[in-house]
Amino acid sequence: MDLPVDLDALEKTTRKREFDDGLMDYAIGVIFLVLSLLAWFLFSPGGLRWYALALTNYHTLTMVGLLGLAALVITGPIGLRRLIEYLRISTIWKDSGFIKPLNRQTSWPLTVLSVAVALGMILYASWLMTVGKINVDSVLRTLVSSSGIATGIIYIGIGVSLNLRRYLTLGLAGVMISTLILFLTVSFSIAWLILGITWALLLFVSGTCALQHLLSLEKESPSE
Amino acid sequence: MSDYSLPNEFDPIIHQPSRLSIMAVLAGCESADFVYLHQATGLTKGTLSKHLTKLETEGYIGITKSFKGSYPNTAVSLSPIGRKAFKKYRRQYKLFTQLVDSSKS
Repeated sequence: MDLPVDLDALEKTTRKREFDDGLMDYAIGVIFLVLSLLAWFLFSPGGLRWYALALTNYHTLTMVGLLGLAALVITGPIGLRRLIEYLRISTIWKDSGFIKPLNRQTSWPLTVLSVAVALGMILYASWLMTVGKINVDSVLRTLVSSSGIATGIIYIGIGVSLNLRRYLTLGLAGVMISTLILFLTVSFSIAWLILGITWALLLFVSGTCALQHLLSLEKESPSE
Repeated sequence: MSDYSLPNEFDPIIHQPSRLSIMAVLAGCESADFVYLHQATGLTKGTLSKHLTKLETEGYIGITKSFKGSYPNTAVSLSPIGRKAFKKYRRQYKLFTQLVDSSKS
């Protein structure tokens, strides 16, 4: 027995709107890239030496710089959100109407699952280290890998709940690549760099596919 | 089956098809403007306005009028009461359809 109105379809179409233009993918890709470059620099031997020198010789300036960096990391995503809003209001959604997306696109069970998987991996790796099976580098790589896997789980979950095949593919690819990091014999800083660059690339590709698809749809049916 | 209600106990405010469409669209976002609601629901502007007024009177939605640049903008959002009422409606209707379908088989 069906309602005269397809509630699921209407709700999902509206929820999907945030992801249809690919701008969120670009934004998260930029965040991944910036954070991974920061992590790579801060945790690399050269970066640590530089930081120690800077702190010793230019203490106040270094502290101010670090505070500025922290402020950028916190406000950067807000700024990106504002930029996306501006682009949507002025161009992409100008004729089709504006929505303010839901503050949470993921369900609590999905969030808990992704956090549980990440924590579980880190705890297991820590236990393996205590029994001498792996070294500290492997534990640190697990920290990196688990972050990527948790992100992948979120994207798979969003892809399933909204029937977004693009996000299913993105999530699965992200999980696979993040898992590979476990087996690479690279340092902690390089592991962050690899994670950030690969996720950024995946997200940029995903965003570009979405934007191209949207633009081709608009070409086929121009607004009256 | 503690949530089961007879059809005539469905919320009559939400149960109307046009208002149901509006509620379903708003359930998928924090807020939507009039232009989007008009496109997503397929309702005429007059019909949409009429039903928005009704939903606002019942306290199920909030309407905020502002300007985006020099253009007037009307943003509509579900109120906490409206969101709760819509969730309840969906649950009730799901149970009702399950009962009807199982009685047919």
